[in-house]
Amino acid sequence: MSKGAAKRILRKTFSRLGIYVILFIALVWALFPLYWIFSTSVKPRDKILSVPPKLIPDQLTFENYQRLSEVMPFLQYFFNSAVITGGALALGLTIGSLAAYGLSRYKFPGSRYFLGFVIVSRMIPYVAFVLPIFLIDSNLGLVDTYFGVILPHLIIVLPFTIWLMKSFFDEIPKAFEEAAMVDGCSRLRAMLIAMRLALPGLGTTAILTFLDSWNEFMFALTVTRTPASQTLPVGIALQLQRLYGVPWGVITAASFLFCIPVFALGYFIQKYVAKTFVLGV
Amino acid sequence: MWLRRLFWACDKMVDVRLENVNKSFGKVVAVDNLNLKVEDKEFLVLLGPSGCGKTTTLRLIAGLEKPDSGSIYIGERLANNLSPKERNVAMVFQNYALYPYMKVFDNIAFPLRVRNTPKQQIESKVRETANMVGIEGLLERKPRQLSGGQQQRVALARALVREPALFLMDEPLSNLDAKLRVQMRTELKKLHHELGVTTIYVTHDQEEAMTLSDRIAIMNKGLLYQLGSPFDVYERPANLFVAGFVGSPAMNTVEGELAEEDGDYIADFRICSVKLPKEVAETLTSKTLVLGIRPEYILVDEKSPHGIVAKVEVTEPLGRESILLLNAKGVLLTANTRLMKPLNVGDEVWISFVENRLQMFEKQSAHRIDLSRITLTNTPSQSSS
Repeated sequence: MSKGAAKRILRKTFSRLGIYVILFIALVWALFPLYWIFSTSVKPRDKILSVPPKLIPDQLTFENYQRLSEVMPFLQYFFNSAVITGGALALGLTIGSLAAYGLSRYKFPGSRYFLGFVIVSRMIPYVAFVLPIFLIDSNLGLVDTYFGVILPHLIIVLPFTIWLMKSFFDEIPKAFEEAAMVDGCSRLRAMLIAMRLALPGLGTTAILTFLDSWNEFMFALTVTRTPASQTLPVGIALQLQRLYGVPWGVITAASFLFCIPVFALGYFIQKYVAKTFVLGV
Repeated sequence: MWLRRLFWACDKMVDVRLENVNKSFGKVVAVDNLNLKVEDKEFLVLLGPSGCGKTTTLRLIAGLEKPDSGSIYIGERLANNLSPKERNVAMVFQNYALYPYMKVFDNIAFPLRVRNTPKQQIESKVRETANMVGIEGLLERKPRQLSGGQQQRVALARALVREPALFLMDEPLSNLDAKLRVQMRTELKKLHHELGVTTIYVTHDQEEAMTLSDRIAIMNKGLLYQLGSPFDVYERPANLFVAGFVGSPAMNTVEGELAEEDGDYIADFRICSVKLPKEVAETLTSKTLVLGIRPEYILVDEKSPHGIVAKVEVTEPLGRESILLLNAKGVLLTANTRLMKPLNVGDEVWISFVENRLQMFEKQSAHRIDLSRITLTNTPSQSSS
């Protein structure tokens, strides 16, 4: 082997090694909090705050998971989160897709600026909406109801859904709908053809919408009062308000369970989401 | 014939009339006061360059666009306010528009399902139609698993299956390779002959237009320039645009001036002079005329003493025939000729013209001057010798 070739191989190996080191650091940085939550959740109560903290628990226990329902109405919180996220998802996708379809297919006075307006509304700090949303919910009698939380969640998910779905619809040639109309479909039914073609995009949007709503905390905290409508993030946070004996083990167990749907979704759709972002949508 | 029995549309009179139809997109006029009648069972081709308004015209007939003004009749019905599905037309799109998530069978069955056709009938009709266009073995495949030609057949089958009153085709062969295009052209013609359904076909390919059509409508800038048989538009082009657009290689055009000599009206085109009848010459608005000579009507002979001498500038041998670029008295002419022996650049040849195939146009209006027979009085080479 020539000297030059050996040098090239060495340089290639080092540069590859460098990439792996950077990726490893990034991975540890991202996953360590998660690992810490999990390891805390399986430690016995008296070992959780031990000094120095132990990275790998000496003893594994699932007592924190068993105590979940004793310490807080975990299942109720989980159910509330599921209903609210499901509602935000259904309404957000329906309204958002229709709006996106309209923006993609029709021109109306100001349509060019409308999308810009939608995107800007996404950039406004959500805290600015807290008071108006609370007043609206109060006046409509929606405080401490599912819909009372779904409503502000729509503020978060709609701009994103509209923006993303419009990009997907723009990619679908109009000829499909036109062919459907000539084949005998009404305008509305022809739109469903476009919706069906945009299904991969709709899936990606649904997952990102799900994450937005599932993780949302501020609005849920503001417009809920009782466990009847409080979501899991709110329920977990409320445990921190105890004056004595914050149940760290239970909190981390609940937090870990709260993350599971997100992991599951992430695993199934990572390919599509990555593709969506690579495409620049 | 079983095909005719299968398609009820054949028994219905379906002509299409467009009366003073206008359509603009913003400031762009796509269709400008179009008047057109497509006869029952006719195969009409809308031909023109990109942006001439031919596709817009087709979309207006399909109901995918609404005219700004004017009337569109399909059969006896005023169709202006009818939705596409109410018009009973079938359309084949340039990119076929096959639903990618459906199998070929479902794609073809789609128009029938939309109309709530009984399941058994769908099954038999889809299979019959697939058989007709030769895709019976592909029914279980998805469109992405098909070649361009097969996709084109599926699109055709989807249009055929529901027995439309009118076929609209928007450059359906433009995505196919040259060989397949020629094959599909023949099949389309055969299919039209068998079914006899009124068909309006859009293309920018003049060869396709000439071979497929009963009549050709040539459009440019939203205007209908000429409507006539393939023979008419080729041999009697209505204006300079049609003359230049139809035919490959394009028609040679040579400008000349009209002058009166001893009561005779003679137009001198440098390569020849043409005598115009007095009654024609007096109606002309300008004295500058354009002589049109199709490349195949230039006769090339090595030794003929008749005609004029021209120098070969470029030769393009095509096998059976050759395209020659000739310089005759400073005028560049393209000739399409069959030669017994090859010519070289720089060779001198004698050329003459087929008199009764020459065309003449007014330069200013670009309109064809209708002369039953053009008379060449002499050629400059003869007069000078």
